[in-house]
Amino acid sequence: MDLKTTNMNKTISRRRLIVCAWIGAAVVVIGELIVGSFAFLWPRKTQGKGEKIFVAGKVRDFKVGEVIYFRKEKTFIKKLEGGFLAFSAVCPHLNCVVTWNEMLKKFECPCHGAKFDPNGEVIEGPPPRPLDLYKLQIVDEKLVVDTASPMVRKNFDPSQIVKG
Amino acid sequence: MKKGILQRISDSAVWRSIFRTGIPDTDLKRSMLIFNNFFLHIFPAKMKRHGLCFSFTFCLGGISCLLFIILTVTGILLMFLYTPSIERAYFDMQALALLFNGKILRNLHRWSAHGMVATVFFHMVRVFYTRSYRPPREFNWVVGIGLLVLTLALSYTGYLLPWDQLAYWGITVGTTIMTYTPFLGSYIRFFMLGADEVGHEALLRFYVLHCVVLPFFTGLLMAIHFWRVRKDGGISGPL
Repeated sequence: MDLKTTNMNKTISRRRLIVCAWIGAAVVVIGELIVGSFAFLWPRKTQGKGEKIFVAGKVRDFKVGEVIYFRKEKTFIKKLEGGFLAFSAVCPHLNCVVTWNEMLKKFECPCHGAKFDPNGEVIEGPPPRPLDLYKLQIVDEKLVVDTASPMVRKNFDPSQIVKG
Repeated sequence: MKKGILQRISDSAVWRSIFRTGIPDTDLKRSMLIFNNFFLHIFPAKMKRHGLCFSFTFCLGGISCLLFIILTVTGILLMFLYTPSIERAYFDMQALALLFNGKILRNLHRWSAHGMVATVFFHMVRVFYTRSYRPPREFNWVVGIGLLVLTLALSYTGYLLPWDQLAYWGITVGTTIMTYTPFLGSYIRFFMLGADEVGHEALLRFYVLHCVVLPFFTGLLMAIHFWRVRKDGGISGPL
């Protein structure tokens, strides 16, 4: 094979080079526009990684068996014999807010009819897991709840109860 | 013979500059009338006999298009009186009842939206059962799927705008369903809502999608859809 044909195989024509350059430029520009648009529209609010703490009240103010709802924080505080549980009121099915039915002693979700027992376990309905728990601490005889990161659980376990 | 007033108008330079075809007294001129008119050109110049047969199409595509036009007109009127903010949205929606024709406009918009979902669905069923999706119309079926998705998306984004309990929890549930998407789930929800929960950002995003973005793409796909109907052999009937 002589030199000329090998050169012919390796080089590209001027026309082809310019076409490739145009296509490459177009891909870069359009890609920038698409990525830039998404970056522009991406929410500035960062997901709450820090602590969201609120004080639910004094330990001695809760009666055994009582369930108190904190509307703004979407939290239920339940007083048991041994201590406290802090439930997230957000239904683990599709994020509706459940209510406490004092007559039937159940948590009920208005959206898809889910029912939870007083320990947050699913009695009926579609939720895949029990109500999530929030971190609860007793500081200076007061209940301090951190709603930043709900604890996902498979089922109720007496060890989840915070003594107090 | 002396020319009548109508004859003179239709022969005048101004008239002829707007409507190129004169009095449509021949078949050619009748065809040209349709052909040269912007609003009429989506219709065929010549109609096949079976194209007029009601039970071939039940006019479902046409009704869907009509409902879309009603929705556009009433939607634009409603936009003048609605503020997409969580402080005002619900009250603006309620205040429509106090205005002349306010209630009827809102209800026209609402019922037309419900109706359009139904007619688009029935249109699809009709196309399916008459096997009208087969070549050469197969691409138009795909465009139709796009229009179905856009219709549903328009309905869904409009659902949040009254900012009542139904809207709030409807969007909470719907966007939580999005989180079940593999890998990207929670990001999609976060991007759609603009925040972790349904709030002001979500209302604004849904408003812009509902009023600008989705209608634009629906109009574009409708234009392609109608053009393809004509190019693929006209409405209804065997090829």
